[in-house]
Amino acid sequence: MKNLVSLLLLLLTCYGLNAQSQSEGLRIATGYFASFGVQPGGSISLDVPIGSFSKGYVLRPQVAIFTNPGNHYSLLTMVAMNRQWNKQKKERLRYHRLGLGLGYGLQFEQVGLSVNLGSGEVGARDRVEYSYLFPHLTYGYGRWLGTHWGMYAQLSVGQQLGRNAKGSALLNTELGVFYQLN
Amino acid sequence: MNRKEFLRQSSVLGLGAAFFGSLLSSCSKEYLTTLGDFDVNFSGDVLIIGAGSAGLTAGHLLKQYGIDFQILEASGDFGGRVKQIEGFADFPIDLGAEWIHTDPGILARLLNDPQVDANIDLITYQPEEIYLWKDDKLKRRNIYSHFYSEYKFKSTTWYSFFRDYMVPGFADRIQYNNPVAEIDYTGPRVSVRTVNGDTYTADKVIVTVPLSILQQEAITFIPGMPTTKTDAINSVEFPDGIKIFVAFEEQFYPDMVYVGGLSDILASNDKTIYDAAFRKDAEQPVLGLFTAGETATPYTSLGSDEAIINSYMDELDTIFDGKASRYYQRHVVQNWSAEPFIQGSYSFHSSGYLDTISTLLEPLEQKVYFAGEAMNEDGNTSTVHGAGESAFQVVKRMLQAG
Repeated sequence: MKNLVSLLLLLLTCYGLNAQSQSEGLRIATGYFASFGVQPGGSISLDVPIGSFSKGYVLRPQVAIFTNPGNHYSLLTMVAMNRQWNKQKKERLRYHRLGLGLGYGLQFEQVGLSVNLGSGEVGARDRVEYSYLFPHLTYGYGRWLGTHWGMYAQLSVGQQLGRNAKGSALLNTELGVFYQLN
Repeated sequence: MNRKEFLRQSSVLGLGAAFFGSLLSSCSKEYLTTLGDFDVNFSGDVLIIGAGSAGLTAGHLLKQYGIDFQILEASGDFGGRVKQIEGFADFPIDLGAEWIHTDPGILARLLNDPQVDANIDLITYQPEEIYLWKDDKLKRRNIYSHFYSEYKFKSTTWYSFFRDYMVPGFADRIQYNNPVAEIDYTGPRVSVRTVNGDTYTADKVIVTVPLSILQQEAITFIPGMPTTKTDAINSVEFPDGIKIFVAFEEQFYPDMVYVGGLSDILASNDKTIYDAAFRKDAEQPVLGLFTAGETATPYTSLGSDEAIINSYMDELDTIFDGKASRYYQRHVVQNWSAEPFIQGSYSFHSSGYLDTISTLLEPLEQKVYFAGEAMNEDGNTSTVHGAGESAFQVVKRMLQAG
């Protein structure tokens, strides 16, 4: 993990001055969010340019919910600082971004349940709440599809710290659309 | 039928409870929601061989249909590979099948009776601290917890599920200590002779013994089974299986240790050391070992329980730096390979297994039917619920056939 962080910081430094022309302004993004690709959910986030997008840095606050049906549901708030590189291709602007972020998660885990033997209905559920910090790395790709909107995909990987199961990794995948607000 | 449909039909049909007994035969196709709609063309008597999950479920269903039946069990207790021990710890322990490998609503579907007014507590079995024991090292793999989740009984067991909700309905119809030696289906009624020399006859027979018993030809069929069927029986692996539980003064182990690597997991060479008290109402630390297949044979081949526990404790001491011996209190070994009427763990099917199962399920002249964990036509093999479902499948088939 330490080596990976060092590599990312090096990349951010090396490419710091290579911002290309791009659309300016605040963006809102929403999409499908899945932890490990199998725990589905949704996400909403903002892309906040630091200075302007043309400078190549984007702050991304985000709220996501996801669930492992019958097991847990989770609320994850994250904020990540991204270095973004833009590329004009066939009249469509695209971007790649790498970032470092920190998240705070709440996981409501079902540890017990009661089943009615007549109906099969699941009744009372015992839940335990876990909270954890989620330092993570992100990689994102976006593509403009219209004047004000486009689609994006994002990966974030990091570790859950503070849960009972310390050190468990988390890999989140996202696919959605963004819209430029101004 | 999915769970929603089941609930809907159950709630509607529950209105007819007052007429339950008398309407079973005439309205059974409406009542038996799990089986779906079908015409019942059979009204004779049935002999069930084996009082394991499939045999008990078959009896339970036949009782619901008002069909006369009797169960012959080889051992001194019902359950088969569903077995428990009480008094070993402050919670009952499943010495056989332990996990619920599917939606917990399966418990209601097996009972198939919307009038049951009871709830049962389960735990979500999702170990959080997971380690691999590989290359003589414990390697933390908590990430696996994101991909693995099942259910277990919280303060009860699979055994008590059958004991409390099925067996009371027909306890007087189970004959214990009566292993079957021969099934003769040449006449209009099937004749079953037991090792004890008793002879029983019935219009139909449902054989639910473990596949190993059929593989060893412990039961003689007259006439013999078709070659296609014996080939199918012998094509399925039924390897060794063992469970060991050790009570300790204190817990020094994680929720789960999987012995081996990813290739072993994929190869189904299960060998898992686990906290048996995980999320139970329990104070007593109990460490369980579950292993079936190639990884079980090194234990079962040792012969005596004493040799087995000595070998296992040495292994635990290696994994946990001697803490196993330091905190040891007592143990119980359940060697399923040494059980005379089980002789192994459960079926390991290979590719193309649905065709094999179809052959296994094929009745002999519409008189002798087969059910069990190895013969679930939907492919839900090697589980308690799969065995129960296979009983549903064969009972429906038998009642339809007439």
